[in-house]
Amino acid sequence: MDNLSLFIAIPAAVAFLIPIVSHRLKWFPDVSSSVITFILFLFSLETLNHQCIYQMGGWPAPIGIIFVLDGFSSMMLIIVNLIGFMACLFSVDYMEKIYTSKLRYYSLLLLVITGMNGVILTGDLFNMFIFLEIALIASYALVGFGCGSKDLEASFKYLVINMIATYFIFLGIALLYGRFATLNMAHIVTSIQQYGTDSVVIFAFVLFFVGFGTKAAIVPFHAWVPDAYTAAPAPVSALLAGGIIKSLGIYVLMRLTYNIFGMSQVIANLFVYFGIASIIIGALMALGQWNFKRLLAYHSISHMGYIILGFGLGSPLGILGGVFHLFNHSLFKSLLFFNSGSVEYETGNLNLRKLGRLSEKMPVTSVSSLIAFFSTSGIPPFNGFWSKLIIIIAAIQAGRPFSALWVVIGSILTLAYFAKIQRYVFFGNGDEFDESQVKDIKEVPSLMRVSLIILAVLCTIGGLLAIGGVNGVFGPVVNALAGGTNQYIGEVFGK
Amino acid sequence: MVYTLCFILFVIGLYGVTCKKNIVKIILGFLIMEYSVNLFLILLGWRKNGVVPIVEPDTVMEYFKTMSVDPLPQAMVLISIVTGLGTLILMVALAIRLYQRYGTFDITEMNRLKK
Amino acid sequence: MKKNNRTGMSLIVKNTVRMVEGFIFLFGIYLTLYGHISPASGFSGGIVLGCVFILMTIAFGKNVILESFGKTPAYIFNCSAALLFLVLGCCGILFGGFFSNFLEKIFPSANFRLFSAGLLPIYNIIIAVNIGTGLFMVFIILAVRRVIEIDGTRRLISTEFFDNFKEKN
Repeated sequence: MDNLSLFIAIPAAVAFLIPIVSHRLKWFPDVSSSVITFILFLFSLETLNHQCIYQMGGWPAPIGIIFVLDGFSSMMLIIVNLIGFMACLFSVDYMEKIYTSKLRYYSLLLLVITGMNGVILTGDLFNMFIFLEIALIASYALVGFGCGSKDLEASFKYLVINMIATYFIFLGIALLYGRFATLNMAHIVTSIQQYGTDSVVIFAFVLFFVGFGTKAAIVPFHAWVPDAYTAAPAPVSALLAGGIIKSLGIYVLMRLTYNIFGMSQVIANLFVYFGIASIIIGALMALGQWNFKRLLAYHSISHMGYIILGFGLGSPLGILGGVFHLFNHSLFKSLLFFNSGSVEYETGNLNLRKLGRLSEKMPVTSVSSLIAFFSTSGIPPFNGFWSKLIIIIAAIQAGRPFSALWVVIGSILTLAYFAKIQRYVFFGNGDEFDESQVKDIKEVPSLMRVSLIILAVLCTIGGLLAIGGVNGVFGPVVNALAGGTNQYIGEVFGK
Repeated sequence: MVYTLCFILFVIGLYGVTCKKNIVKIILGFLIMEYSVNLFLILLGWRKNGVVPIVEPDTVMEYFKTMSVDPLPQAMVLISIVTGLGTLILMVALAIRLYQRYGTFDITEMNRLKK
Repeated sequence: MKKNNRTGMSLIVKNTVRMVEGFIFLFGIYLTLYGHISPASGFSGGIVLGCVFILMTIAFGKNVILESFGKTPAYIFNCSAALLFLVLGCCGILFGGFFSNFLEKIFPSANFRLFSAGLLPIYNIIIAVNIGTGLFMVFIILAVRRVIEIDGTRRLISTEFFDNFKEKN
């Protein structure tokens, strides 16, 4: 899979083809989007353990725009395209019942996938900004897709906070361009090594940290997360949690920190403290929520804290823990959002107080949410346990026993609020539960069931993977990041 | 010195976005932020008495290197204007729909999510 | 084109627009075609083309323009222009890279001529169509809404555009 531009060309082409064709062929949006995202997923699997550079228009590196593929970007491509495929599969029946206009929905969804693939692959700062805008503008429209008052309000809030972050990033790019007169990331690294780190570079890094930290939902910048996740359709929430905040936030932040500005003790402390704050505040806020999706949104903030903490430790083991947890989180988080979508599909209701006794009526949803619950709260042998264990060991090795303690406390809090979900939705019932509501509830349709089962199986396999092959799968990722700035220059300029 | 003016303009836009309560004023704040960054980029490429950045056979390269205008910021600004137009349209459409639902442009009255 | 005298603005405005619109349209086409050799591009040309339609909508009223041009053709023009742009970019893969200027390699030409720079004029035309129809569609969608008074409260009444979502709340 050397032709990296197909990751951008294929979904964009289908996104523009859907509005033209769908007036005649009503089945086209469903089938084409699922098939195309599946093909993209196969392509991304092929990029595993593979390194290459793709030059746009045949122009070499410092002049033209290039696409860079290394271990980290191929892992992110797999995650994003897998979640995109699952979201398309899940949307077929879900969007049919709850919303009407499938045509615009699939078009926007594929544009989001285009933007995320572009951000992951590109090696040019301004090109990254363009793909960021593509993904974000499409996702603003997707969050407010229902056009109810709450959807529009959430969408506007999401838009305002993310636009401020976007202009911060744009100002940072402009500053770096003014300082070094280049936009190519590897070329910026060589310039920084040549001229040294001065105040302009530090200011640009702070702007980038605030901007991408907002997109990654770290705690002081997290205000858009609960509203946007609650208002969006369930597959879009899954894509937001599993794809957008990881590829646009964490991925770019880590790429900039490790490969461009270079990791230092100050940045490590910054990441660790923001990570601990995210873990604890997210978990405490989640405890008090009574809306299924809002609880999941705060849970997402809490787990982004784990990932930031793992990366911020700076050691190879910490990076391994961070990447492994990133992978696991996107699996079980999208599974949980699909579960909430199934519950909404059948009962039309997400208030925990009004739900109850769904375990007999919806066995697949119940069992898959149980698997996700075990993995997310760190019960062996599911995948979440191993990644949290690696993060804790790495924290102790790095001489930060207190952060390890906070990770354990956050894990216990996670167990508490997921026990609450299981108790109120699936096994017990809430205060305002009405027995007559659940009489004619059936299991969700087969396509939705398929995506639930696939993700649940992947969660279980991920746990087994940890015992044997975690270094084989995530080793290239750790190498790509731990190699630091020099390795990135070597990859791009081929030294 | 001129660059400082761009930052002041950026901060004015940020003030408009964060402190104003009217949706239309928030949108205007975004426009000011965007144009300040665009102005900054254009000023980076600007040279006094600059020449067009096209190399012809009889161009003196030493003079060209010091005096030519940088064309890359202009391309970047053009692209950022296009994305800014897209975002502006989306913001205005959202503002119209919000007015339709709530009957007001005041964001402090839009609090149905909290209930 | 049916230009109904009962809708739209006054006769003077209509006659002026009727005289001017052709020249503005021509100016947009000029900006587009000369985009690769002078300070203009498909974007600015497309904006001018879109402004012609907006001018006609304001002068003659929305019904005239919707009957003659309509939103579905605009939608299809917009999406097919974007698709064509992407297909031309993908054709470049065969000749060395995504968005490679393969026409320039096959037919090399002198600089600063109308037929030069390979694919760039074609890209400019496609972008002009895309931007023009897009701007027109945005104007129609945003402007064909009216604020009217019902029982003392002001309400926005929208037309059929983008109103086919089921009410969620």
